[in-house]
Amino acid sequence: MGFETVLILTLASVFGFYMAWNIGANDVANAMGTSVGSKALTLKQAILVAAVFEFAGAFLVGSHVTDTVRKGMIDLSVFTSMEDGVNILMYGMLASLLAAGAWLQVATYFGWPVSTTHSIVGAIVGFGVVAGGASGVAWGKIGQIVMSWVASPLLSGTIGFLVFSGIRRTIINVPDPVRATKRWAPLYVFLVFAILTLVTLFKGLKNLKLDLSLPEALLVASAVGAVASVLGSVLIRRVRVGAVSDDGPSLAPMGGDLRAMVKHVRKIRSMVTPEVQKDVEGIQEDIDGLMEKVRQSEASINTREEYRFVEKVFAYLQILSACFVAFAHGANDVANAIGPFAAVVALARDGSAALEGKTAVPVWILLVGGAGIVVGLSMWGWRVMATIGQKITELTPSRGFAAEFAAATTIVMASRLGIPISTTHTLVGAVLGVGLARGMESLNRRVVRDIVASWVVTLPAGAGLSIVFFFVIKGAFRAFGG
Amino acid sequence: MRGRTISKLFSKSPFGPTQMHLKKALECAMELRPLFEAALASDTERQEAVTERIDELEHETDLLKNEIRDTLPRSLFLPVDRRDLLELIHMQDSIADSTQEVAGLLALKQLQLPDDLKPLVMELIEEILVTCDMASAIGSEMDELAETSFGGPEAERVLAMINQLDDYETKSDVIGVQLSKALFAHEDEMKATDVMLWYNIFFTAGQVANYAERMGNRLRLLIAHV
Repeated sequence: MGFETVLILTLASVFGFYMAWNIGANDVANAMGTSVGSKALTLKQAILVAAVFEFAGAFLVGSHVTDTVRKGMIDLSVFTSMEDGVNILMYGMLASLLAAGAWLQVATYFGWPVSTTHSIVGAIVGFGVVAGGASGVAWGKIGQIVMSWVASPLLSGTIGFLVFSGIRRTIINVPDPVRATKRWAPLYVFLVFAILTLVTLFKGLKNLKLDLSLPEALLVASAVGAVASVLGSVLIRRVRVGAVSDDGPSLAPMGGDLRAMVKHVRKIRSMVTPEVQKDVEGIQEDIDGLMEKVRQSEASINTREEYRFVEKVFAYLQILSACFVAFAHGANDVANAIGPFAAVVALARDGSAALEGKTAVPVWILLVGGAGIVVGLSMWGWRVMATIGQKITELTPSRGFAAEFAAATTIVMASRLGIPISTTHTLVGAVLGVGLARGMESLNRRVVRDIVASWVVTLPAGAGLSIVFFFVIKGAFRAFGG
Repeated sequence: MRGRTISKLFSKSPFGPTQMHLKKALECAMELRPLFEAALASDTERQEAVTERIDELEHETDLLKNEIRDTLPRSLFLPVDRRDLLELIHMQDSIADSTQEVAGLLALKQLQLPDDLKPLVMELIEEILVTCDMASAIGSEMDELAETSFGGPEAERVLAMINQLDDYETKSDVIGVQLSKALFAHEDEMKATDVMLWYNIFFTAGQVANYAERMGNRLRLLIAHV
């Protein structure tokens, strides 16, 4: 291995790890912030859950999107037939990593809404065009990816709408929410586990040499889901909320008559002679005291305790959906960092042959990516997560669950299809979907504008930077090696 | 920081502040009792003190109203119609406004009322306050309503409470008419301007209950508009 190769590999490792660090530092917070905001998880728990499941997602399912990023978006035949094509590809991938990382840094500094995914896709397209001409880019795949950026928030929004409408119909807007929760919550447990298992097993675990066919995977997924939902229903039965109103029949129905009494006693007091007035005042005090109790009873009868139970169960369900989100996020976003990194490693090792064959992404690279995310999360991400959690105070666990479930399902499907999408945008779509089902008390529609801005701004910016870095790196190596 | 996208998505719920606003407006209306007790007893000193307190509460209600309106930009995405919510707040605000108006009218000049009318006046005030009390019970359901996304048994319960509110308001109307009739029966022995001023005072006091009722009906629309 020549000095130049060692240098390239070192740079690729550093840039790849830096990107993964960036994802851990910023994107994980977006994905998990809703859980902290709804208090389903404390900050510490959220970090632990994120670390474990981000890593698992990156390691177990991360290779699909990584494959797309490292060789799906550029037309390899253009480069393999080119003189010095392998080196140019390596420089380009390095430039892409550096461009995306630098752009994220700048955008983060100025507080612009950008997406890691869009940065890296823009960067790879940018260098692809200048290095290989317009035909150097696999426009079909790029078109698919860009369309998925519109489709993914729409899809997660639809799922979020349906899931929350379902929760409303089956659990919230029924006469007995507690019983309804016990009956229906296991279904949601089933869905989370079944989908997660299905996506992981169906041709997913290449790394563990465990590729199941669709029917096999479906069967296993249903079994896992069923076991989980039975366990879930047993656990739900043990959920208790403090002081479920056992203080006898409510005073609230007396409200109307008592209000009339208050009025009449006051009237009497204004008519009687001073001697009798004392007695009437005594009666009035008693009635006022009773009225106070009735007011309290009116304020608390309802359902308040029942909804506390519902939300407590959903707080547990939201722990599940948070794991699901972290897993999905790891599976999709790790590719943004290690896709180009893996490409450089393969090119350095095997030359042009590396990208044509069906070689899997080396496991150690997935490990580096997963580790980078976890390190970024523990060094910086927790701070961002704490900030987000403090700002999202109006979210209840049932809403958080619906949104996270919708987002995670969408992301994990995109991951299986090998499409890099933005986790944040998908989650925004899901939250808006829940809002459309009248689930959210107040949302800021202007964020949608930010998302569109992110598409419009980040792609050219990533592309432009990567073009600059590509020429700089190429020039440097040529001069150095020349 | 990029984490802003998600945290920017969530803005402060307007339903808690709306509840606070109603509470403050009704607190103001509750001063009607001491106000009339003082006025009917010609206790000018006490009347002035109560009027001052009403002005204070009305001002606080206004501040809350402005605060809510400031946090309701058009770009906000709510589970209810934004206009319905703004109308609801307007009705709530009018409860305090009318109370202040009553206090203002009573302070215009030293007024005397024939003794036989006084019990009926206090009865009117009590009926108005019963209506306000019902409105307050409805207001305390606001957060619950938001939690159940304005549907289901909770919404039905609130709708039933609003029906009851309507009944109370009707009763205060009936007493208001009785009182006016009784007042005009005295027209020969009173100054015409005094009669008209009293009539105006009773009418405006009735408006307090009226706005409480309209608040309820706005809430009804808010629930119905999906």
